[in-house]
Amino acid sequence: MVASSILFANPKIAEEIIKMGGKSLLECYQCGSCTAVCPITESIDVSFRRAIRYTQIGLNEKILGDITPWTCNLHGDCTDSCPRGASPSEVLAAIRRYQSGFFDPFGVSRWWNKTKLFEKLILYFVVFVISLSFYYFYYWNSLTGYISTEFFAVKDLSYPIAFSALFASLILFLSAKRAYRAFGGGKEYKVGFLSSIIKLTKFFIEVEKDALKVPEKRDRIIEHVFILLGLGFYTLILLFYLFSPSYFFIYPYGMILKFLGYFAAISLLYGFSSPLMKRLFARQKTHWYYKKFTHSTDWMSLIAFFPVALLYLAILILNDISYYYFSYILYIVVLSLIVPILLLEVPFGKHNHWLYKVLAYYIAARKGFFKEG
Amino acid sequence: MNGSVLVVGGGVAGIQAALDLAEQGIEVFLVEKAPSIGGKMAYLDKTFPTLDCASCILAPKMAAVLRYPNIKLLMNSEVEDVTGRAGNFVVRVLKRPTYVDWTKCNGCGICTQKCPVKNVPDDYNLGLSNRRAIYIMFPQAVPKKAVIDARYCMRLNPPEKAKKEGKTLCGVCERHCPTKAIEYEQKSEVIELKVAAIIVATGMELYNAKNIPEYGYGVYQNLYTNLEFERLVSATGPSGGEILRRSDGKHPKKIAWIQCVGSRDVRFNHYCSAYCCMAATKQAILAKEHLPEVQCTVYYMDIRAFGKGFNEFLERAKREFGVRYIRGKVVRIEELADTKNLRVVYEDTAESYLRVEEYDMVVLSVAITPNSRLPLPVELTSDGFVKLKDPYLDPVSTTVEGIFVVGAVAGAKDIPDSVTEASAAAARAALIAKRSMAREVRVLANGGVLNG
Amino acid sequence: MDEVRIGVYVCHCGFNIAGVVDVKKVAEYAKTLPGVVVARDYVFMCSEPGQDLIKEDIKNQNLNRVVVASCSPALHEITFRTAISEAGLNKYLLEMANIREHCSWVHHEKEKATEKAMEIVRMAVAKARYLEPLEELEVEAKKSVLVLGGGVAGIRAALELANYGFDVYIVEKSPTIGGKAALIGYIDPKTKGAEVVSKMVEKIRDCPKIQVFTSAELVQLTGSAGNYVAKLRLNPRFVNSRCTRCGECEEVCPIEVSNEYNFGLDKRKAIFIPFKNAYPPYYAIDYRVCVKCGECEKVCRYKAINLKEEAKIVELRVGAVIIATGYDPYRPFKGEYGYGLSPNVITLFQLERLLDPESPTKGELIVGNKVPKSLAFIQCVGSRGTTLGAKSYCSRMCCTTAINSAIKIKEKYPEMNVYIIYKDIMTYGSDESLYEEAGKKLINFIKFEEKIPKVTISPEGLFIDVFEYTIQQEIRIPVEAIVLSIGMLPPRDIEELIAVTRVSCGGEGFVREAHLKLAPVEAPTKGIFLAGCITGPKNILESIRMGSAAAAKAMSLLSKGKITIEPMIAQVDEERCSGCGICVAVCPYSAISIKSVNGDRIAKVEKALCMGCGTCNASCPSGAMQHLGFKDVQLLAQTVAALRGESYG
Repeated sequence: MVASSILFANPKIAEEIIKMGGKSLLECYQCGSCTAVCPITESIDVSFRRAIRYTQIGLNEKILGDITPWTCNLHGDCTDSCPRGASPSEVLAAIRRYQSGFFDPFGVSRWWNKTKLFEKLILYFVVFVISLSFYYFYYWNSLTGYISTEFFAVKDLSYPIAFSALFASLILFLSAKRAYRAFGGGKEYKVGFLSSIIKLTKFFIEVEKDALKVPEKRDRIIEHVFILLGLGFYTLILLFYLFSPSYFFIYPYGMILKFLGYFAAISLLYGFSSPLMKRLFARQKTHWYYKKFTHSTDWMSLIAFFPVALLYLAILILNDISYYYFSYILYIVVLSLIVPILLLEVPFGKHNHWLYKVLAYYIAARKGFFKEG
Repeated sequence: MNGSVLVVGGGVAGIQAALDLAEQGIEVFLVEKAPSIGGKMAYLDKTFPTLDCASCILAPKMAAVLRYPNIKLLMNSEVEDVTGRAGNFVVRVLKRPTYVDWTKCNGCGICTQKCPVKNVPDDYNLGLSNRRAIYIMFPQAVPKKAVIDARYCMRLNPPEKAKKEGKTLCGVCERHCPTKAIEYEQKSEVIELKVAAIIVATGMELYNAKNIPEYGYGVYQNLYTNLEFERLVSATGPSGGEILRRSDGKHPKKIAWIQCVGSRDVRFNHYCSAYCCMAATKQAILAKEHLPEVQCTVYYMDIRAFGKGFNEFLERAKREFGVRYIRGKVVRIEELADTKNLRVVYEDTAESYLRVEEYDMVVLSVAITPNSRLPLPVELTSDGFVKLKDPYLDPVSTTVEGIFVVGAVAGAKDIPDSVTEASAAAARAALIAKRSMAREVRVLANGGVLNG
Repeated sequence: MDEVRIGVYVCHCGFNIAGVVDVKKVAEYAKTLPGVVVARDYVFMCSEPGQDLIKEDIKNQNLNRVVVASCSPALHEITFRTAISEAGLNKYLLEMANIREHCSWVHHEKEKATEKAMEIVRMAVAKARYLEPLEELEVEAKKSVLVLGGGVAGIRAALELANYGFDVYIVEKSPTIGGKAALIGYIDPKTKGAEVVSKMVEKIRDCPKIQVFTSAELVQLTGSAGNYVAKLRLNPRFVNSRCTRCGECEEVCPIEVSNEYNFGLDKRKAIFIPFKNAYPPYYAIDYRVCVKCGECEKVCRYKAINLKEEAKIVELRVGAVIIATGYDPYRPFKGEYGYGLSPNVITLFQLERLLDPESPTKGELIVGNKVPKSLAFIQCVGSRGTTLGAKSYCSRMCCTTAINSAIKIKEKYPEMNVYIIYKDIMTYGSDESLYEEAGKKLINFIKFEEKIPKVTISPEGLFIDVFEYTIQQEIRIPVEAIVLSIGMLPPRDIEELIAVTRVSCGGEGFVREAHLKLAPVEAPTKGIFLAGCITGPKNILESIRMGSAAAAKAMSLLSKGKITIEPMIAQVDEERCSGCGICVAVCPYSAISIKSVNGDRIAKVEKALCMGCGTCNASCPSGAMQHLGFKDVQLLAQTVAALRGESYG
């Protein structure tokens, strides 16, 4: 079959992007300010304007494999300088959502990214209630025995979580594979693995160093770093809890884990509450980032994690002051909260962007999209 | 006796309106804030798309103003206050002192050669050259009379030391004036006019490009606005028509024009300024005519070649003169410390990649802003232009009966459109004037409100 | 001839001339020239004291010619003419020597410039010796104006003129006034074209000063500014004012033709009403297609139809003519972007009709039997040299009109996908807000540049192949309807117009104005004014303003009731004229005719018509045709002086 070089315009794509949060997509009149003003384009040969143009016209072939939207680090200079008052960074986020919809093999995220916030909340709540009642009915009687003990052994609690985690990993793995193929991973590599990693690291330091000088940008970077650290440590500790809680009693691991636990809890709490508060109580002075990104997935990624972070801190405190009964109840609540996160938010929601972003950057580096010097 | 008409603004639209009114025997007061009529067109070297010399086609019109005894010029003046209604407006005009008795001055220009204060930035050349403290605005000025710039005159604004000692300094112009026209004691006066109708033709100013920090206008030496560039290529300009860089006085080899500076941009002005695309094209051609080796580039988003002969002119610029047109908005200009060359940063939207290009000289096609902050009871649009009552049924009337608006103050437009409107408004005003009563000039206060 | 006594006055113009030219030396030199009695220099000859100097010399020295060596005559010739006439001299006994623009401003070397200035003065003096007194003519001017074309520009002009108390005659070739603006659905998001026009027409109806001739043509225009005689042919309408618009005649009429008032979207009968608010508000019979079967006459209960009516010739006397005959929409050829090959390809004007609630579809956007799900505008059809046979100019209004319509479509059918395929969006001035609005209304813009879009019509539907400029990629857009944003052409009958009114035509086919920048509403011929799209594409607002301006200009020409005619025109030496008639053929203003005087054929110049161009003078083989003020003897004297000859006579 001879592939036609002519691409078909599909107006449905623009509609979908608008539904996914790219409200100002068609306000763009293609001046190229966004590309020219972006600190990323100084290092990588990409055109955000063109990526936006592909979606305006609706060229699926061009959009899906495009790494351009993923190179966006949300510095926001484009939105600051857009002569049409459109928000390219928001549109790019929507394009990323659109792409994720295709990377997900079951197409759930495509639907998930189009649902409204209250629909998401309802679904979340339903899953949360199911998992909570599962814990209640299935474990409660057999678990009451633990409560009076000094510490609760919780290995048995791990099954719903483990199942959810397995599900999330599977979906993420399949999605990543599809994304890798779409981005053209493994083909036409020009740069070696190691040197591309070095290049990437250098690039990130270079690019974010400048951004740190600007207060509004610094806030966002710090929030992201805290979330990233918090999630990492939290996952680590959770694994310990679930699979080898005995380490909590061995000196000095117990102390270290406790310290890490506090650190993770506070990091997460800051990382999620800070943007959430800014969004909820947006004022004149608040940066547009917190006002513009009002798509349901943006809200959901914060709303889902915020109670987890809050309750986790509470558990740690309650444990330290030996209110084990309450901490135990809270622990079950937290676990029930994590189940919908793992089933919905992580594989289909916003948080898979960590994965795609890394992939996109890696492939860009290997393919030699980075400018020399 | 016929009623009279006030024309506010002595640009090409105001001049046309005044001439049309005067032709019908109506008394016209032409108020202009500068010491000469001519407006922005007098700054231009040539006009697009015919490349007619601007002053050659404007000067006869300006001279014609002097030929009508019923056009009363109120130069160096501004309208302060308007009361009354159609047929019976009372206008207070603040006439600033020129310190020269214009009934005596014959514009010989001796004073402007003798004045010892030589470092006054020349407004007519937009500060690109210097003039004396006493000056005639430009060679073809109408009326061609000298004016003292009180801010710089040693006599009128002596240095602190001399002020304390109470000395009177200088007086060179007074000594040399063959007609004894210098009057250092002149004060501003408020003139009260009774007019039947008012034509607003205050035109426009360039948008202040310093509001756009990323271009660095006012900081970089070889960065010009398009009006400055127009002076630069003009034979009556600061360098006599030589295109020279401000930094080193050399001919540029590469010049870039940046379009839509301050227009079509929600951060500054939403509207399109309508004249800049063709003005840049014209300037690129002029640059090519002055310096055949120069490479001209225009950065645009949409080339608006909508008028008669415009598109043909654009094609000529591309084909005959090899002007390069690149579609992309320049987001940043950087100056190189050593050469004072300018680097423009943009995305070439045809190639889809970030580009950085170095130029010897960059010209900003700056937006216009209407001179609509007027002490008149007229309504303005959200963009700051004077609002029309009903553009379709009553094309030049403002929301106030008896006040008409023409030219760029009612919307960005070029010369022929302004001239067309001026004639239309003149006829309207004439109708009101003919119906209404006589006028009266009364000098209210002599030496009251403002000094200098 | 009396003794020639010339006074030469050399102006310093401050430093403008004196800075380069040694004016004293020039004045001294002038004194040595034959016929020169006095020569002086002064700082500013144009100033009051300078003028007094001349006046005194005329009285004291009994001068009978004056030469002023100063700036361009365009600036101060009138000043000095007035001055010498105040001193009792005929004002045409003045000669200007331009030593500023032609000398001091363009030279730097003082000696050579002085020498050149002396030569210029020598030439002027040589000519001055042969100057003759001339008398200005004054003719009566009629306070009435003929407005050609009943579109918005013409109506506006007529209303303004009637306001000033002039008699106005509107001549419209179709059976209704209103023009094309009445057929535009929306001219801006809030304003309907038909509404604006009907408001204007209402005023016309109420105005006794305006007389409207519909189905009329100007067949002859003679006379000159102030006194034109216009001959109109009134084509028969066959229906008189007794018509009540009952519509019975329309039902029985057997003839059906394409309806030009809906731009061919539907058919009309030979007896028809152009549109709802047409004026005059009764039926008309298209005399070109009517077969005079008499059915309508039989059925009409009001005896409003008279098929025996014939064309009439009417003669009008007017002071000025305003040409506002407008434009024709561009006519895409069959197959241009699929036009004529598919019912789904329509023009912008047809779309405008569809959007009008009064349209055959009642405002529903039905293209080829149904409301399309997607629609694309293709811009620059017939403009900007886009396709073969396209005009080189931009038609100015199509971008704004297309965007405005697209917004209207999106408001009505939010689900429809609307594309605008453009080269450059020309929403200049405040119209940019529409372009901004379009983005918010989710209208998709596609840019092309050199390579023009290709329309493919296939059983699956319409496809537009565009090379998208900003991604440099060939894309294919499937659409259900295509709107061609056609530009403007000069009206079809512009050649007849030119033949009758003697206006001239620019390269792009539109009428040329007296000056592109500063005299945009005046034709080069005095007494003829231009309004609307006849000088080139305009939007409705601009046309309306031009109508006002043209009216103002006509008023200021005629308001005094008299027109002065410059005496520097052609004159025939009847002794020399052989009546060959070459001058008659070359005269661009038809001012010359051959008359028989005592049996001899002799050319005769109609003074009021002659514009003094000199064409006849140059073409006359016998030298009988002389241009007053530039007679052969004067010009030759000047030439000989330029060549350093001593004298000529």
